[in-house]
Amino acid sequence: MKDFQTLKFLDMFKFLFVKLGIDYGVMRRILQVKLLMDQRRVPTIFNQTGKKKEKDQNYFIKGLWMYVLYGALLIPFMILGESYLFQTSIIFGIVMFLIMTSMISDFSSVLLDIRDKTVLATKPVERKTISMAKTIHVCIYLFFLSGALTLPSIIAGLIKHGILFTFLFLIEIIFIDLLIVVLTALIYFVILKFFDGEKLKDIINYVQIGLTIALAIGYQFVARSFDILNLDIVFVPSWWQFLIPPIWYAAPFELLLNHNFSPLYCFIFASLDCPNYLIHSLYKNDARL
Amino acid sequence: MIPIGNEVVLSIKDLQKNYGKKQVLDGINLEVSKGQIIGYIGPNGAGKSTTVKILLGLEESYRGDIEIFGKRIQGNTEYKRKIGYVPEVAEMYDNLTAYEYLTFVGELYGLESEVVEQKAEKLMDLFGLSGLFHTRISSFSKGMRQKVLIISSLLHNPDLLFFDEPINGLDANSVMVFKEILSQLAANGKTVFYSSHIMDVVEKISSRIILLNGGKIVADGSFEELKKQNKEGTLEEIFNQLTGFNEHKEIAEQFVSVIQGDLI
Repeated sequence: MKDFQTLKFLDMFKFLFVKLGIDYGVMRRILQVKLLMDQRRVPTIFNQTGKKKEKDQNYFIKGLWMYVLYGALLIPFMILGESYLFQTSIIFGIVMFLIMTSMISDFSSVLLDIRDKTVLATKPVERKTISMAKTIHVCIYLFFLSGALTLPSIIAGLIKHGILFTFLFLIEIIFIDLLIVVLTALIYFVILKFFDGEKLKDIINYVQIGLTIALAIGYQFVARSFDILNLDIVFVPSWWQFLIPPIWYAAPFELLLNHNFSPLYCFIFASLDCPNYLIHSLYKNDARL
Repeated sequence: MIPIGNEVVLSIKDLQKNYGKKQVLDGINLEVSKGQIIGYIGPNGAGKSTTVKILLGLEESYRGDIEIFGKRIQGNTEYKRKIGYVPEVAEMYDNLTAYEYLTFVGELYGLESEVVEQKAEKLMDLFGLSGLFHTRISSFSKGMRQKVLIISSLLHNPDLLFFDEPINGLDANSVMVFKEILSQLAANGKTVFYSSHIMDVVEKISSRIILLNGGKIVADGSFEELKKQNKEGTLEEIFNQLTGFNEHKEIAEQFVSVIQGDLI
């Protein structure tokens, strides 16, 4: 059967999984099958035409170009000036939103496969191994998605702001991905808690509609706040900004690169621990995820 | 042939299960010995599939003790190595080819890839699916999928088999082959747990019949024993009698008259 580059890369971390008590061989096999199926997952538009085609095409990888294009739209924010807090919080806001949307809409069928229960759980495979395989599966997607989305701004940032900035940017992206994984898991957890699996598909459709509307309105907000902020870009830290995740991730730039040691910035910096805390509470609550 | 002893393969003690407020299983007690073919029958919603799901570790919150191969199943996955399962709904990864799916399942059971491949292809050929080994399952008919599921449940030579409506969609000839396979497996010391709504088949193949109604076992014994107790000719009639159902004619009459436009 076809082997994947991604899995070969994963092999380098085999010892880590073994240390966690996971049956690496089985996990790798599950991932291999999952990735193979994803490759064959044809978007609904192509369903009619490509019936005879047996050749595997990776529609996911092809679709990534769209995200690179989206990412290119972020370049202006990146090279606008030196007020890092403002620029990066806008970039992170858009990135978070786009990744979150596609995680919930496009990949829900991938990430929440009801067949897994009958196919995997009836086999002599430890639950731990199944959960880890699913987690890694999500992470692979997330890696490609956020990679494609931020690649243009990373390059622009490297040219405009230098290596230290880029390094910080990369670390922040990893933290953002973590938060997104936890939030997505949380959303699924809440949905599954109140509705059964059958209704999940309907709920996801509602989420998709809601997110589309939010996207349209959100862009209006970004555009408008831009106008106002253009007159006065000075950022005054206040309590409600703790509630806006992109600002948590933007704060370190201000702190480390502009040496702006307002105590509130430091406090925001500390919220990086948030995903960590959420993961722990989630795992304690529910082993199914 | 391997002699069949009285070795207990599966024992269930006072199994209870609730879905919300509704009690689905209400104190099931059962001991199954090696080599038996159990026909597990009951009306829709009697709790047949739920029992099987609990035995496979798919449902967790239940009360009671379950031992399979002499070990408690809670928190244990090792026992699944010797179990085969055909689910009621043909849920499988159907955008894989039969080859990919079967080798995957075989490897999950801990078999070598090459061994499974040979075994799977041979079984496919024997089951009338030759030449389809490298075809996607999504293009298969219902009966063909069912055959793939049956093969996938037997690849690892299990000792205990759970079949939930396994002959759904199979043609008459394949059903004959399948029935013969079952009796030969049982003769070789395998235990089969067979739940179905097709009474004629259950009547013919089962060495022991268990009838479930309202979450309780209402009859347990061989077909001959049930016949003696209930003075009825076929299993279908025994089934109707034990589940207290005798107005099929009236219901049918009303049904037809509603179809024809009489809104009584």
